[in-house]
Amino acid sequence: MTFINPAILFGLLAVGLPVIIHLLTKPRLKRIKWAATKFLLKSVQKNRRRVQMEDLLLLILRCLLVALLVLLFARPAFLTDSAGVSLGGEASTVVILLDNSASMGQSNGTETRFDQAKSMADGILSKLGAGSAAALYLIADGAKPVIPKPTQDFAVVRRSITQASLTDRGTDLYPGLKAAVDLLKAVPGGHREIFVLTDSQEAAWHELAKIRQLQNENKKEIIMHFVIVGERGEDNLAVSGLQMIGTVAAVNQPLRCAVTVNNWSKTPVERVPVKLAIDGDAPQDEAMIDKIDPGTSRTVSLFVRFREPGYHSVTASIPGDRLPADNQRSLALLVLEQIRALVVEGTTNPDLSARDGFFLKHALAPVRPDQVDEYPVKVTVGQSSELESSTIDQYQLVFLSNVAQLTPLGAQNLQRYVNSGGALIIFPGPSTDISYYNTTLGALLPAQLGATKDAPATQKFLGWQSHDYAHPVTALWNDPSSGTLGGIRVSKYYPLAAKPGDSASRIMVKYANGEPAVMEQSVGKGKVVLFSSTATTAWSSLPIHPAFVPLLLRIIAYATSGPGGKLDLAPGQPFSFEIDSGYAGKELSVLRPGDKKKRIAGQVEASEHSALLHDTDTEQAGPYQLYVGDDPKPKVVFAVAADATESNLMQEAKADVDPLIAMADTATPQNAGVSDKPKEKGQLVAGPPIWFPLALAALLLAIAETALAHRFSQSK
Amino acid sequence: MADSESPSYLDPLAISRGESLGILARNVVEGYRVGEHRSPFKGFAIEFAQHREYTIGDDPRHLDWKVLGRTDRYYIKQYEQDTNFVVHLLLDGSESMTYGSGKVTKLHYAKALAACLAYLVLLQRDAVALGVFDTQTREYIQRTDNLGKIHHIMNRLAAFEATQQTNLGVGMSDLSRIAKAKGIVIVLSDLFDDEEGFERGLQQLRFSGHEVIVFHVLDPEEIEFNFKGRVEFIGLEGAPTLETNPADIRKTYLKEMDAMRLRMRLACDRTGSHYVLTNTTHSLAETLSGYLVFRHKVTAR
Repeated sequence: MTFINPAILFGLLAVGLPVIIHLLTKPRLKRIKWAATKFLLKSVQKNRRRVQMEDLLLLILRCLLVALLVLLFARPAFLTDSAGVSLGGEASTVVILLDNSASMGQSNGTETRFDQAKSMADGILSKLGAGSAAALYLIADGAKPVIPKPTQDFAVVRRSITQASLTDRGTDLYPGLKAAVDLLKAVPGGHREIFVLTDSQEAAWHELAKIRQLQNENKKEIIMHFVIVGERGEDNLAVSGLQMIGTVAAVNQPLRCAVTVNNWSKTPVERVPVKLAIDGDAPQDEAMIDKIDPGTSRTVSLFVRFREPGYHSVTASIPGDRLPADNQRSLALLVLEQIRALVVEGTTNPDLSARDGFFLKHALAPVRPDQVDEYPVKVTVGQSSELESSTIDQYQLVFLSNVAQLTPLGAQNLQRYVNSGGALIIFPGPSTDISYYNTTLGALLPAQLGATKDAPATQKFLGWQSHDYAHPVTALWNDPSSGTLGGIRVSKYYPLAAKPGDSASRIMVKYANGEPAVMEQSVGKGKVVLFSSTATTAWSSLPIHPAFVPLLLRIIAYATSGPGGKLDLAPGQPFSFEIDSGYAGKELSVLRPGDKKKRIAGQVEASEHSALLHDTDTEQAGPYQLYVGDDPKPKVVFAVAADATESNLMQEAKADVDPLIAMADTATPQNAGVSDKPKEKGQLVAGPPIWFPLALAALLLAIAETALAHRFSQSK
Repeated sequence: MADSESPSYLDPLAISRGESLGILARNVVEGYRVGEHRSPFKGFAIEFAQHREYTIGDDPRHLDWKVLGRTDRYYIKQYEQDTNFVVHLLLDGSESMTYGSGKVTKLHYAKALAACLAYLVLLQRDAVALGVFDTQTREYIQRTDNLGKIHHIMNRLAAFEATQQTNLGVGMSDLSRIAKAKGIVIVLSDLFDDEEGFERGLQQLRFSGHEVIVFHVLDPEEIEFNFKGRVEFIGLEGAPTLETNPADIRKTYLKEMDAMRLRMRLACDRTGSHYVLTNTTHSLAETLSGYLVFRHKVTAR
């Protein structure tokens, strides 16, 4: 005999309850002076034994009733030999791994792969022999235990299977298999099996070597069954990418977005309409992709325009198909009212075109003079004394061009400005005092400036890298149609040397010889971008290169994007966002993808100097709007994007996987649980819970107790 | 205690009913009056019987002047012919009589009954004597035929408080010793005592020629035992305290009680005494008239 919920056995302490109740509820005594005590004594003596027996019987019945109820809730079960046959079938301990990644949402017209997998899991449970026990894990890019320990209560397992829901996560079978093997290893002896119900995407097997090793190491003790669902219906069209391109996100300014659509089908797809909308409203722009060849993708540019500043979501969508999860993709961004930039020049020159800020000023606002007022970027050109004023805080961007040194107050202001969220872009020049920069401004710089270096004499010029751009700012130029940065050449530059032990700085772009040309890092809440050459044509052709304007705009967009990448998450990744501490304790509600009404998600958490918006339920892809208190506008918007690899529903990898499946004694739901493996005797597992006889006994006891209590209370 | 302050043990209804029926000696009593009671001493002249101390209310005509002249003491010269018949009221004054489930205790009821009987007896010019006993005779009022002494009797009854245990045998034995003339002895008791002693007492009284009437005074709860819930019974007369659930033992108790009453009745029957079960919930009038009707029928034979 064993118990499925042994912890409830602590409830047996409640057996003392009837005694305690008897003691606590002892009836109030009536005290009477009595004359005929002689007869009373005789009567009591005659009845004492009977009354004691009656009281004892009732007490025993009541204690027994409590004990039975506790046992009933502890779900007792007879121990059965799992290797043996208890009720005509073979008893096994199995772990069911149910794939709930995004690709399992693919429908064949009547049911999804996930529905099929659920039915098969149910079928497996039905085929298991009496006395079998099953655990359940949901696997996507990790393993989530639903029933972490094998139970014989298949009703609970079936209910958990029914209630299991899809996520928009990717797939990796290894973590789930590892968890299942570890679990079964802890079960002593007996017949142990793992059932993996998956659509067997290629991505799911990317740790195939580890899976093979795991299977080989445990093949004597544990049998793995791979049950593949969704063998048909692999065609799929997916929005695999959505990026903001070019300019900054500002109110009333067109924002260009690149939408990439992948055709994972085996046949070409023609005339694919792509729509772009903001905040779940009607689409603002639409484009038609005439044709996408099988296994390829096409990217189109679409524009949206924001009416209000703040956090917004942009969603690209294509017509629905059988996998709805990847028919749309969202990103979240911060839209600014306007962007103010301060260009600090190191020297003054009567010739305007020779001034240090000339090219920056025009590149930052690349419009005709009559359009400057409407353009969102407002540029102010000044000297380093501007930094001494507190007005520095009104700028989102500060450019230093060929500035030799700053005044102590200016340097102090600049450091505070960056730490509090400002963006600093430094273009050194002939006047730059590198020792001052490396020391006084060293904490801000993403790298140390070395002594000026000329381009190799043989080449006269040193060009920027022409491909393999890793940084998001320059990733645009990985597409040859966007041009190249390889045409930018410098004749002289300050070599940028990464600071020892500094892991925060990143290379934005390199020279062709591999040296860093531009580096950046986050400092406090702000960002600092350090160029290695000038913002004038003195040493570099960058200011007159066609990529200068888009590069600056992308830097502006990157530097003013607020939390930046923090707004775009993967499924299941927790979201956290700092706001003013005054919001702490207020109600936090979330409008999730697919929901029509926002739901309360707790309270704004108090942090040390601020308050935190926190949301961990991010399994579904799409935009999430977080509201604080009664404010009708969302305080922040973030987006969860599904794993793009999930869109590839092809099971072409089967050829690679088949040997593993064959080796692992592939089972179908029809023959699952009836392995021919020789029985191993000796392992005892819990049999089906014996609740009915206990419940019947408890009922009979309750009736007996009531009847006897009534009878005993009669006069005797 | 002044007469005006005497407790009103006299139940007007009981008195009026009793008055109409009268106390009739069931047997021949020694009486000097010709008329109501037959005397066994027919043809005898007036004979001196005894002296007794003068008590308040005695007729000064019966004072023995010679004794007064010689000894300066007040003695009444009694003659056999002085009494018509004497009713000896013997009241159980033990602690067990203090029990009462309602407002009336058994002792109070018995006192009232004794007072009523005394009044009735005196009213018909018969004599009455009263003894209150527990382990011994605590109070004794000499026989008197003066109606005016009824207040004195009631005062003595009222002043008595029960504290001791019972010994019926001793009380009855004392009376048989004191009461030389044959009369009626009325015992008012709950009879919670040694049953053999009680029967011996009865035999002694009967042997002395008394007619004996036993009023077995019981509280309704003692007869029916209808307590609910858990009860702690504090024993009177030194009996132990007992905590029990009355419902558990009711049947057994009633059986024991019925058996005791039967034994008492049989003891009375064996000695030719009257046994009257007296429930304190019944009114005095009911009890008294009930018994007197019965007695009237018996004497009419």
